[in-house]
Amino acid sequence: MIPLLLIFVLMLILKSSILLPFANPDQSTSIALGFILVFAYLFGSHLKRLSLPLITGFILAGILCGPYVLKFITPSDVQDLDLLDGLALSLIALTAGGEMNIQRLKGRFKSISAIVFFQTVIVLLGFVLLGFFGRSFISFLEEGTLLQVFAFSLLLGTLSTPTSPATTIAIITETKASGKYTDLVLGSAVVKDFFVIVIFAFSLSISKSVAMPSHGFDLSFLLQILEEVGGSILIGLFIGGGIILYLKYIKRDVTIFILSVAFFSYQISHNYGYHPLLICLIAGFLAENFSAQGKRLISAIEKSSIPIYVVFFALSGASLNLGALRQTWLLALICVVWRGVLKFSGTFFGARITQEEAGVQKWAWAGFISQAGVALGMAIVVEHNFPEWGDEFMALVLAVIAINQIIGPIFLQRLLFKVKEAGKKP
Amino acid sequence: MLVYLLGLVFFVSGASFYFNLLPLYMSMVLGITFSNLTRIHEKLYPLLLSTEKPLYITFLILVGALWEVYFDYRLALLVGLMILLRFMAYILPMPLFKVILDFPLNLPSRFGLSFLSSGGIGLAFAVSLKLAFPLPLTDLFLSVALFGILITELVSPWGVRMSIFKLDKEEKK
Repeated sequence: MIPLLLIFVLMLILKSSILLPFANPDQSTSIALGFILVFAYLFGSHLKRLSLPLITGFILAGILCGPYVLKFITPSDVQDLDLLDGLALSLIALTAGGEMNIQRLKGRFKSISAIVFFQTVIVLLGFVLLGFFGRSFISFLEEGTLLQVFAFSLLLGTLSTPTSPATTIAIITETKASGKYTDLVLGSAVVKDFFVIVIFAFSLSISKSVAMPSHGFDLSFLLQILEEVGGSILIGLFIGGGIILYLKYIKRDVTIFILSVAFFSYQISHNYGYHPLLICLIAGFLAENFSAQGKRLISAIEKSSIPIYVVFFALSGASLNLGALRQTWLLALICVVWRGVLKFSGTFFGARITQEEAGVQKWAWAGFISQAGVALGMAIVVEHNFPEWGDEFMALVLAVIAINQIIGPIFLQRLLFKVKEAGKKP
Repeated sequence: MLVYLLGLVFFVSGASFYFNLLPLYMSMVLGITFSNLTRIHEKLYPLLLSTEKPLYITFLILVGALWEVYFDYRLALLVGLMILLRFMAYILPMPLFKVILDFPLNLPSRFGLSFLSSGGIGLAFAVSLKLAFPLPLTDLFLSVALFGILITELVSPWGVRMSIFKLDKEEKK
């Protein structure tokens, strides 16, 4: 507890108005990074004693030090640290891809497909229903036509479908989990993320054509998404091939090589609009399944996983919009509960149809609550395409993501402990 | 432990940038404090060694990115002067000690050539100055330092080899 208080008081003094005349506020990024690394790590370790996941501690530390509470980390710091955030995401995605072992998942493919299918369909339908019945709570929908309500609900549903693979893999790594539930949750989260990007393109095109009939059914966005997804897969295959060759013939300095790969993937996706998550997932998947040294790659990343997770999740906590949560907390809470109910139903039906055991039908839903990057990215696209929905739509989506990202890791961790898969990984 | 260490390094160097101080010295003070006042220093050093290579490579990439390469006669003069001074500073003391002060040193007179390489610390000084004081003068300083370091790094293996051969010869005699 003493180091935590010490670093906190030190930061308080450094940021106090007494020292401000001697300071250069433009140079605060490195100090913010150092502080968040130490503070989030210590904070997470303390929360772990309360049986909460480390990453929940990192996220809460990010929120606490972020622009909405203590302001130790400013929005410009978060923006400046975007590169590290991207690097961390690439490394997490590489690990997630590496965890997708074909041999292990072969027997679960049917269940994963069924769970993904039912979750997607039920969440989409459920949010369309919520939109129709709850339109009086949303000011910009009150006087909207039924088609506009449909467009809004369809997009909100699409945004609510994905589960964050980054959070999922972080909890699985932290709890050293292995087994049926772990494979089902991770497999479904990854596969769903892939399909949701494509479904989103369809939803957006449909929503635009029904909410703004003058636009008609716009295929260009769909084509753009398909190009991005196809391009990401190709780049991922190329990078994966490179990793395999490196691990086979060079073998030395794997950590440096992985860092370079993560940086390269991030830059490619950042500059040309591809999906870093998809690129690294494919690359990790290829390295794990088509090379004898795949395990070395994953163990090299996992060894240094804690700093990666601290940076990624603390920064994601710092970027959570608490202002939006304050504004729309009741509606957001309804959406979160409703999403949970729909996730349960989707998982239940998917597991029942494929005759999974009763435990999977009853409890596996708890692994699908977290929600982050992809949903946020899609929300920004929606905001850009439907400016008339304005801040209210974005505030609602951000508030829902904020709540889900805080409770999601706790649900998944509890699930893995409940089904006794935590600590099973050698 | 690694998070803790990386966090402290970033925090201390960040604090020095925040208050316009040199991060290199503050980080050195952090290292001295950690090694001498904590019980974890035995774990610390192997950990630092294991992270050194990736961080060093990242640092070199940063140096490359910071360096706005240009070349003119003034720069050439300064680089030449720097290398000359460095050679003199390492070669001259040995005969000076031996001949003038009659100091009992059983080493070849050009033994100082083994110390030509300045390694990472020279680069760190130059980059630290450039980051702390982003002025045109520090740009020139960085260029001179980098050219000088590059050349001495290229020459230093030859210097080490020469002094070892010489030492070997004298021992055989």
